[in-house]
Amino acid sequence: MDITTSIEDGIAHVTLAGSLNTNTATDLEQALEPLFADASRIVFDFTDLEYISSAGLRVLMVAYKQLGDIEVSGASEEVREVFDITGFSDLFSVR
Amino acid sequence: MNRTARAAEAVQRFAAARPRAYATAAFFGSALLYFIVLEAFLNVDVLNGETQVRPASGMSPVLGLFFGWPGIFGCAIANTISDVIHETTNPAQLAIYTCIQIVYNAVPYVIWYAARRRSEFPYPRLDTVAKIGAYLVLSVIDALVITALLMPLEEDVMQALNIHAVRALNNAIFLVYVGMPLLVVLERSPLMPLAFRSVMERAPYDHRPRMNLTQRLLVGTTFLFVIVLAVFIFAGYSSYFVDGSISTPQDLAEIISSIYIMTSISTVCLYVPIIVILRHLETHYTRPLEVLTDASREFVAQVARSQETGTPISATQLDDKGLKLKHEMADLFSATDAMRADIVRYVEELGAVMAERERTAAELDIAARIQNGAVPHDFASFVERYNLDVAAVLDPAREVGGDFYDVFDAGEHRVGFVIADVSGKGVPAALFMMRALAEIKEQMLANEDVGAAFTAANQRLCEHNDAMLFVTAFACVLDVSTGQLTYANAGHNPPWLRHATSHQWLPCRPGLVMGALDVATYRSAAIELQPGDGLFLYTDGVTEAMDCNERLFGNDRLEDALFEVSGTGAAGAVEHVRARVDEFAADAPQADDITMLSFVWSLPVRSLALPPDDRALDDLFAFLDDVCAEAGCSKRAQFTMRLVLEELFVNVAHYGFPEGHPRRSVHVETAVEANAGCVHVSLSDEGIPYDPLSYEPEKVEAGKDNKIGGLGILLSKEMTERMAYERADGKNVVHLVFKIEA
Repeated sequence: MDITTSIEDGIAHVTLAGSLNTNTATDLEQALEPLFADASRIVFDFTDLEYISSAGLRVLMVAYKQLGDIEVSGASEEVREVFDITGFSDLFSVR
Repeated sequence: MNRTARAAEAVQRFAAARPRAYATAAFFGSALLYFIVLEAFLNVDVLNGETQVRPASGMSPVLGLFFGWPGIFGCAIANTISDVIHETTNPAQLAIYTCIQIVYNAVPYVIWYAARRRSEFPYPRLDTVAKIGAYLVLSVIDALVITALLMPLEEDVMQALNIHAVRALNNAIFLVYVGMPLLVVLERSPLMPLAFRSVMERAPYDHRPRMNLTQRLLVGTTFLFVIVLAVFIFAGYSSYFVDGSISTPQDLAEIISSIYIMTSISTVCLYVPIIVILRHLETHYTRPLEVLTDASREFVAQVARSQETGTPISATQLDDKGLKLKHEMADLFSATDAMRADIVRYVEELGAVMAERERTAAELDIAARIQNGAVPHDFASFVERYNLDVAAVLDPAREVGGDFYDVFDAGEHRVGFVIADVSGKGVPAALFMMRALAEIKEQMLANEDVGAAFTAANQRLCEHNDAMLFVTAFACVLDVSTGQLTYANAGHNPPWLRHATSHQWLPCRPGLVMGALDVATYRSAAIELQPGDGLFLYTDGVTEAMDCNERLFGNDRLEDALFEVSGTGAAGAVEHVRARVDEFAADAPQADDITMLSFVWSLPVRSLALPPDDRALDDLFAFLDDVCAEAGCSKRAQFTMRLVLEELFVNVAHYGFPEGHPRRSVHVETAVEANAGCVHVSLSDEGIPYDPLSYEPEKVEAGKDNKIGGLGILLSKEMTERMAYERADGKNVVHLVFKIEA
């Protein structure tokens, strides 16, 4: 999985490409951790995210608990369905 | 057939094939026999000369009578040869004597056939008093004829008168005592008599195997008389040789002539009462018995013919052929008549019963075909459409039976199976069976729930069931898109579950039989079938098949038989159990209908073994991608499968094997049911027992302390078409069904 991060005006932009599963979730966790100190909001670009499992959701939840403001954009239909089922759609602002 | 009868047949065949050879043999045979006897007595002085004792003269007319012209001429020639040897007379005299001899030999033959040529059996068989009488009269006539013919040739008529009388008596007596026994012997021998050609063509000779009563009495009495005659002659001769009172041949001749006279008188005295007695016996016993025997034979033949051709028996009344019936015979005839009338009536009734039975058999045959046609036999479409391997056998103990099975489409991707057994056997059971078959199928098509269908079908079957027949039934519906099998039981034997790993009787509520109580309700149960699983349904005709010692086949033998074919298809299981039952029952007759129905859900299965480790996840994904590519899964379906399998696999890898629990491989199996648009996946592990469905996960919500752990289960539950869990053989098995076009 490819993870690209950047911070601009206290808003972190994270772009994920590929598959976010049990094995790759830790990579994301490690990539997000340094952002929590400087950013108050994370905007995820899921345009190229093909797959997400509950391990990925756990990392997103950790981020949500840290910052309380998560935005997700470009999520595919399947990923949106996962968010709907799990209730994440209500926590994040999904666009 | 005895030896004489076989010989007689051989002789008749020979005579028919080569009549000239037979006639020649008869000619020489007669000549030789006559010559030997004639010469034997001519060469004994005391029997010749003045006394002229000539038994041979009793033989030649009989040989003539029996063998016809060959016998007549044979004996005449033999006599001439004898004359040439002994008397050396001139040729003219020889010719005259030969002619006289021919006349003597021919008289009985010619007169006999002239008188009897029109009769049914013209041959000289002395089996009636009339024929015996005719023979005796012919003997006397013949003796007088030859005496009269020879008279002009004697020089001194007065002196020879005594000789003539002696000659007449000699001939007559020997015709009775030598000729008659000879005739009987010839008639009893295999030899065939020869008569005029027209006679033989009209009435072919028939050798009779036994003598009748008249013949036996004739032979017996004649034998007695011969002994008496022999004693007389012996007494006469002994007085000549022994006591010396008689010394000259003239005296001897006197004695002999007196013996002849005495013998003649006693013969008349003996034969007249015998003839009277025989006549009485014949009229009242012998003849009626013969008539009765012939009539009975003819009657039996007629009955046989009538049964063969179906024509009615024409002559029911016994034809007494104008006999005067008295005493016991009258009773016997009337009793026989009554018996024949009874037999005719029985035969007619039997014919009617047989016709009725044939009609019933023909109807039953058609009924059997209709019944057999009411259940499906060709299951090819189930294999093509649902990968369902189905086989069945329906074998009624009689022409028709009360067992049935059915396999049918019960909605989309749903296949219904029914097996049932109506109480009783034969036609009543078959009629109720047709009703039950229709009702159960109709209700199963109308109701999705098998239990509800049974409840409705039972109500319908209870209506107008005055004969109180009932039916045990088991039915199930397999949803081939999910593998879910719902079933209900109405008092039937539980089927055998042919599971990939375990085999057992399907746990069933017994349920009440249908048709007994209209308020009975039935509830359905359900299990999950996996690709490769199947069911074996049967009726009690299988488990209650009996051997010669009346032992039952029983559940244990059935279980053994099913274990022996655990890996095979439906047809293999049905055929094997049938073979085992036949082997067990051997020659014992089949007492009950034998019905079996088996199906196997035979989807091709792909499998993968993984170590319980997160790092194996990529292998799992690769495997699932392969399956999806092959099945043509949509993007979403592929996503869902990956997600659900990852969640469950990771769960097992993380929590399934606590410290000390052996970490064994996790198995994934997939089967694609393309027609129903489904992929079946099972995930099995040997970890600690854990049912993911027992967990009730909740969605995450804002402002709540959200537990993250249950989301995987939540996703799995929500995103699969079906999800089921079972713990079997120390394994956790989760069955999953995904839609291909999700």
